[in-house]
Amino acid sequence: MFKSMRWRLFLWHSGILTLVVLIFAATLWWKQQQAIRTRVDAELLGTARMLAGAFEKKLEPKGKKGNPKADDKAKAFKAEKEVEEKLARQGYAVPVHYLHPFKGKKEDRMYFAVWKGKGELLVASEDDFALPFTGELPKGPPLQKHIIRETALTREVVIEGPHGTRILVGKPTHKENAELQNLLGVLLITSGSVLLIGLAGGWIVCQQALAPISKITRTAEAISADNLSARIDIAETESELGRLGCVLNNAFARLEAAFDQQTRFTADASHELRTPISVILAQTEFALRKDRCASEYKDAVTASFRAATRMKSLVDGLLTLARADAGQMVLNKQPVELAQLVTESVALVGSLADEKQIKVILNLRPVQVNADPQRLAEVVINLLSNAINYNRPQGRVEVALDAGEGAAILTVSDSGLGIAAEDQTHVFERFYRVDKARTRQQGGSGLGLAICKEIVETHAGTLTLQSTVDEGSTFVVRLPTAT
Amino acid sequence: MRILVIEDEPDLVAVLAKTLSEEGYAVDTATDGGEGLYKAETWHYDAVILDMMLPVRDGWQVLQQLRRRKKVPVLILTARDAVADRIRGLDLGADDYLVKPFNLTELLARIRALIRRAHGEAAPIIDISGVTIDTATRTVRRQGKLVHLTPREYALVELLALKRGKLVSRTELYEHLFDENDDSLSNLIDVHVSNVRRKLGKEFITTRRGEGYLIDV
Repeated sequence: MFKSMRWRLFLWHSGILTLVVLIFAATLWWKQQQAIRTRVDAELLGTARMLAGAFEKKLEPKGKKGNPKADDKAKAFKAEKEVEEKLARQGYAVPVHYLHPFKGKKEDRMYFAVWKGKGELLVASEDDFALPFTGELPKGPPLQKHIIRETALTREVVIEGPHGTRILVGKPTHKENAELQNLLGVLLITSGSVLLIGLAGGWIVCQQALAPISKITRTAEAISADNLSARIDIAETESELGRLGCVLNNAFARLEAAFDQQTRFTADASHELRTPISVILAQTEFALRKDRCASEYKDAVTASFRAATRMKSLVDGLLTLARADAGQMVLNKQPVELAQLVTESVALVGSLADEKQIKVILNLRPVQVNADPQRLAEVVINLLSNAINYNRPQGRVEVALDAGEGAAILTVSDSGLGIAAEDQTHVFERFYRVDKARTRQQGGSGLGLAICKEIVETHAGTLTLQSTVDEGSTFVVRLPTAT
Repeated sequence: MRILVIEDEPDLVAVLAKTLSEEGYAVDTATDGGEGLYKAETWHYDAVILDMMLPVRDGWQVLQQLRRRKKVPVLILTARDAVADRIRGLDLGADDYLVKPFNLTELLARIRALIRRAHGEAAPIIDISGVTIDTATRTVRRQGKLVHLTPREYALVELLALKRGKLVSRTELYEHLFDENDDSLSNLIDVHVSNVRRKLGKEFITTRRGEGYLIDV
């Protein structure tokens, strides 16, 4: 479960949401509790100070005159009038409005007590007032400090009264408690609802956001070598997942194109091989149909030989290309003097040029490159043969070698029929032939230029073509120089 | 029977022509689609062997154009063996399909079948009043005994037998028994006819003076 992004996202979201909601609710409740306490304390303190003021005179020690009855005064007052009467009876003239907080039902009303020393109760508002207080008042100017006593049901304030007395004012807090309980309940319900909705919403959002990933995964799984044309269905292309889908689709398209190219190449190759094989099969089957004379056999064998030779050159070419494709073309690089290599190659095609009555003109400057001499010779000879073969009668071939911009530049120009613009881009493709009939006669397989290009490019060079129809073609080889 | 071979590979077209010739067919050849189409439309052939990868016009074009004018049986030869290509070829009007590299013997059998069917025959053996012509083995028996005929003689017998009951003009005979390379005189036909009569019986071939020959049924 924890490996699933959907679940992790959801759990994080839930965790954070729950934390936030809890903190919020707790803070709210605590703040409210603080507010209530502050209010209650202010109330109690105010009343206590008021009482202190009210009893100032009367609590003055009078020697022994007013005190013998002090113990009897520990009586609880029941009603405003009673309180007043009681206080009045005891000689305390306390204005009625001071006693306002102390009326009401016993369980709701405030109460007070005044005592001296360690437990000598002087006056109290309740009859059954008990006096367990033993706490010390904090030091400081009198009447400023107070101690708060809290029980489950009451909250009390004790201040230092005049003449060393202590005044305690308290009140039952069940109303406030109820208020807080209520608030807690409301908070719990609201938090709970918010959490539920938030979690549910979070889960749905996670699902929605991550659903495209499942879709992408499924489509990608379906795409295989047999089914490269499937594409990921993208509703919106701007979102992150949309872009991912686009990128993947492009990758699949490139893969499909590469596969198609491979398939075409293989199909073309096998097609090319089928023709010479057909010749050999037909010629030999013909020869064997009945007894024949020597010259017929010779013809059949010669034709088969021609076809077999074609197959060999085709297979060699295919192997070279396959190695180049796999990046395995092994180059035996060494310093090569290009002018010399070109001159030698021209010598090799000399008889072909003579046969076709083509004039070969050289214009070579010495230039060195770091290259495989055999491979380079292949390229030069191929370009030269093409120039000679695809030329007009008594035409010419010009070979120039120059150096410039850190590169050796070899140009092979012919005065042939030229290559049309629409063919020029395809001329370096495997098995491409501009004029099938002519190439067939020369025994060409359509791989020559493709191989040349691979060899030149493996040497970090370029092979390009310039051609004008009816004027001729120029092939340009650029190779980095030895420095 | 006269056959046109349209194939650009020189060594292949040469051996096909030689083989068919040895079998007794008159053979014309063409090495590009343009030449092939022209010949096929201009003269009467009993079958056309067509390669699909041709210069000038490719085999598909030749087939389509040819089918607008002629019903001659066409057998396609090609190195492309994809099923889609086969279907396309057959649907464009070809009658049979052979993938390269092929067996010469198989090619010959398929040509025989095409020609047989073109003449409305279903079986390879034709029986005419005691003479049995086996178009598969290209042999003729008279009352069960094998009769030796030259390829030309057999071709004549087969042609008249397949068109039995119908009059075949001398021109037609000439066109079907000789190819473009032959510059024989047309009275060679008479020589062949008389040779056949000698071997298979006078009544075998009927002459219609000034019109042609036929085999009566």
